[in-house]
Amino acid sequence: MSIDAAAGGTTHQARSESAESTGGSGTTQGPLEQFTYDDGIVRMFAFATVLWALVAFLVGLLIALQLAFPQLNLGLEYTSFGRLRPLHTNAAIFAFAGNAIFAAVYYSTQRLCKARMFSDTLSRLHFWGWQFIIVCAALTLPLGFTQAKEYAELEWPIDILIAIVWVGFFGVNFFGTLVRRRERHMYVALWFYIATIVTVAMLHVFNSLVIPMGLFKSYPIYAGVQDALIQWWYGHNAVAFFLTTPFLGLMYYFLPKAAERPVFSYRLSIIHFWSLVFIYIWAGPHHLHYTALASWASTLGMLFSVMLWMPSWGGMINGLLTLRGAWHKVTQDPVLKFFVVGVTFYGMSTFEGPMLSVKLVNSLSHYTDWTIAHVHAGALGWNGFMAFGMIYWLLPRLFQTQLWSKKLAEWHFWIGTIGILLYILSMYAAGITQGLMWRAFDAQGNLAFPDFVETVTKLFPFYLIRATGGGLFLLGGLLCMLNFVMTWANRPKTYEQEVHSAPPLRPVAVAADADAQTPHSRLHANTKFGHEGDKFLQGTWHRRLEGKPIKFMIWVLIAVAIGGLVEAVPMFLVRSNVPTIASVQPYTPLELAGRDIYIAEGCYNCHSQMIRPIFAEVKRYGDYSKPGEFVYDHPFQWGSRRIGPDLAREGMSNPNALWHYNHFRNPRDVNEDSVMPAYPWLLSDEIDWSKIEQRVQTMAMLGVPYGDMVEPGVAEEDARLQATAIAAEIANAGGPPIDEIREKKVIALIAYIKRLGVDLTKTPPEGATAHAE
Amino acid sequence: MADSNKTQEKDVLTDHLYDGILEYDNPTPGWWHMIFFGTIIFSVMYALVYHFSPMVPSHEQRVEAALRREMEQKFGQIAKMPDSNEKYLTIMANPDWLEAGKRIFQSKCVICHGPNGEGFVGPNLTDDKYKNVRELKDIFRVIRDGAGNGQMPAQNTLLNSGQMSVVAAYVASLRGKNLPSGKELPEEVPIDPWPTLESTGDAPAGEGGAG
Repeated sequence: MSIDAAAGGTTHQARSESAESTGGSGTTQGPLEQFTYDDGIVRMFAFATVLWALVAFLVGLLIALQLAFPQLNLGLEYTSFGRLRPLHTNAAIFAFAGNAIFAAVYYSTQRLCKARMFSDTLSRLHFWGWQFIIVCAALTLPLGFTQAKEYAELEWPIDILIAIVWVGFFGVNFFGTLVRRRERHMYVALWFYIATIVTVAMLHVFNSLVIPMGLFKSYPIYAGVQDALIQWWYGHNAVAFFLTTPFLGLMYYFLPKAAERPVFSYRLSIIHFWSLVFIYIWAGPHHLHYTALASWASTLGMLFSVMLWMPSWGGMINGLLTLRGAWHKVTQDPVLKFFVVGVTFYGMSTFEGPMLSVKLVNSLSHYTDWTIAHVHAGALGWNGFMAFGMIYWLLPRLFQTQLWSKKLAEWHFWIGTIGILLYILSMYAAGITQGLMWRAFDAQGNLAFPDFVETVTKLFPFYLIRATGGGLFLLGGLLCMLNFVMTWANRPKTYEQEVHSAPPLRPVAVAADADAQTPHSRLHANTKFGHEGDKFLQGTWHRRLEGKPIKFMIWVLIAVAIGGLVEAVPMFLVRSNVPTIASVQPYTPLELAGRDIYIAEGCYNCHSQMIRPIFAEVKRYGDYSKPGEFVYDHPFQWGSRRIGPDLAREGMSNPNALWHYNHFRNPRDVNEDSVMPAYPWLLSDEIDWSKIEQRVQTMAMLGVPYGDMVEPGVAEEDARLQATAIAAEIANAGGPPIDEIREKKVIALIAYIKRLGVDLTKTPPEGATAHAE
Repeated sequence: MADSNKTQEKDVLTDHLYDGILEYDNPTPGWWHMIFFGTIIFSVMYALVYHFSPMVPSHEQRVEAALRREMEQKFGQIAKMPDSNEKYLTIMANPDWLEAGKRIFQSKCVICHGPNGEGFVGPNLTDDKYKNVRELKDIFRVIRDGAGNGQMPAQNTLLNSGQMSVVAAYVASLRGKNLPSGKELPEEVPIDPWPTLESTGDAPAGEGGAG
């Protein structure tokens, strides 16, 4: 059957299948029930997938070009790199990949369960709720409303919406469908969907615990090291349970459908599913190697990543080996081409991931474009191509006509593949180049490239190649949209609603089903333990579990909770993990306001605040960062990429206020090679003095020892005094007069920058003891 | 559906059927098990060796040791010299040390003093006028303790004394280039030229490094 197959064929299959499968499990009694599938919702999600793909790719291309040509920031605060980069990542993950997941889930779940979705209303609420969240994100992120935690930037009201839509609409709808299913056992794709829904809900809720300060601002309840641990527990497992497990589910349904081949191994799907969901959750701390995170946690992150290699490859093997006997079809069918390359990229990324998690490799790759190459191999290759393959397979079935142009789909495939290769190869080269330059020493034992900007200008050609690759990928997306719209235009006047029939599941059948499969030990002379072990290995217990969705869900929840608990509980309860430093004091009210500007502008997208205990790094930036330095950092701002230099000790190495003033006005005035955007609006916008007190009070609620500072008026007065002092410093050094600048936002930001890293070497104030517990 | 070839004949189907999808009852590949167990064994051993073996120092210990080693190798002789004008003249006579000073200058000082010391927000260091320096050895003090109420930041927490000494010598060596200034400060005054090694009498001990 080719891609152009009309949907009629599937009905026939479904019918004959219901007769076959029910024969064995003793449920043939009872009248047949008639039902239809809701394909309208799949059409909606499929269109949203392609639409948001174009937005995500376009914003990605723009920010990629901004690194080569800083003028493309357009001089507007709303289009600067720090604000658009979160928009790009959120659009790619939650809008593009998210809608692709939902299209896959809504199409396949109904068919795998032989049941219409639990509620058409919930389906629509889910669709429109999710699109509303995306629009909110697209509006708030450029406006600078952010929680400054990667892939979790959206502010708390949107976070609440996400929880409602995900759990209340999607989760209830999905599990309701499982409960009403007419197929005894759940297919492996459904296991992956269950893991996705349960785990993403858990991650989202625990990473988004904040104290709001108004509608558009909040502070996380965690600080410093603990915030970092929770964030990367979330961040890594967003990759795991938003970009991996649902796409494995997608693969398990659509790949054998497109190839018309049986899945290679049922047993492999069991073992790789459970090992994957159990192990993945531990791997988060590999994003925090060589940081102030306790080394035992970072070691756990590395080792569980290494152990994750084979569980991940289990999915790849089951995908690729399912194609045995169907390889000749790959040459003719663009759908299979997308799937083969997608699964191959999955295999490549899931080998590279464990490799990058090895501490020694990570010391080179971290903070460089190598990470960017790695995530794009996953996002463009695996998620992108699996999604596009699915879309092309769905189009003729959803619109009950032929695909408008198979040739155009072929073109999309080749253009996209070349785009990915240009993208990742240039970023590997850029990452390794910059990583080696950072650690290079000359013959005299001095840093070979002491000026950071040298290591950035060197990447210019790679940035051009990367933008070309990204541009090609975007072009491929446009071809897909064209094909989508033209296929849609050829749809029939009214869609044919196929009526399926199957007997309902009868609860009594559970026991009968279980009895029918009681295993018998195949061993001869052996201990009781041996016999029990053999029965376990036969896996019939798993077959029974596949008939119990709620029990299955609970086991998944247990499997994914263990890793997080083992890593997080000691980090919060055992004080030796974050030794306090008496000289580290809370930020002043003005510095706190400046820190919020740093957060709003998304500075963390390009600057780290974490000096690793690595010789070259200590030589470049100063003493390595200590856990106790971050106890008042709600949220932590360690960053994950150094497009600009680390700022952890900026207050010590460059406290000159006038320099920073000039630098924010236009970085190229003080460093002609800089690629940092200019921030003229910080020089003209005024500090919101009325919020100063609120900030301090909210922080005090979180346990930051502000003492008398929370009394009415104290914080604002303190902030105004400090602002005047900094304005005076700038004026005296030859900058603009005090009165012109002391009310401006830039003064608060400079106050924060001047504070970075200076507490470590200060004398502790009288009577100061470790406050943070 | 059955494209028959050799491998498939061995495959046994399970009785599973979902929306037309069949599943084989193939065993998991042997190499998959081998590597999976291999990674588990590796992980246990790695954790034991990395965290419990005295042979493997922590990152922190390693970086401290590297800094100590570097200090001894590069600045051991300098550290032994008394703080005097001769000390800086000796360093200025050694191109390696001067180069070390230049590197540090480029990473820490150029932001304010300009790429060649011509001055920017900080004073011009290439002319004969100085703000906080009256004799050669004052440069070290300004670098160590800072000046101008912190506008010139103290470096003693960022650099060790050997590093500050070579930077001081490098700054002293910039004098006389008289580059066009990015910064003229009224409080700068002309001072006497640096002394020479000959004029200060015998070269101090540790001069052996001079080349």
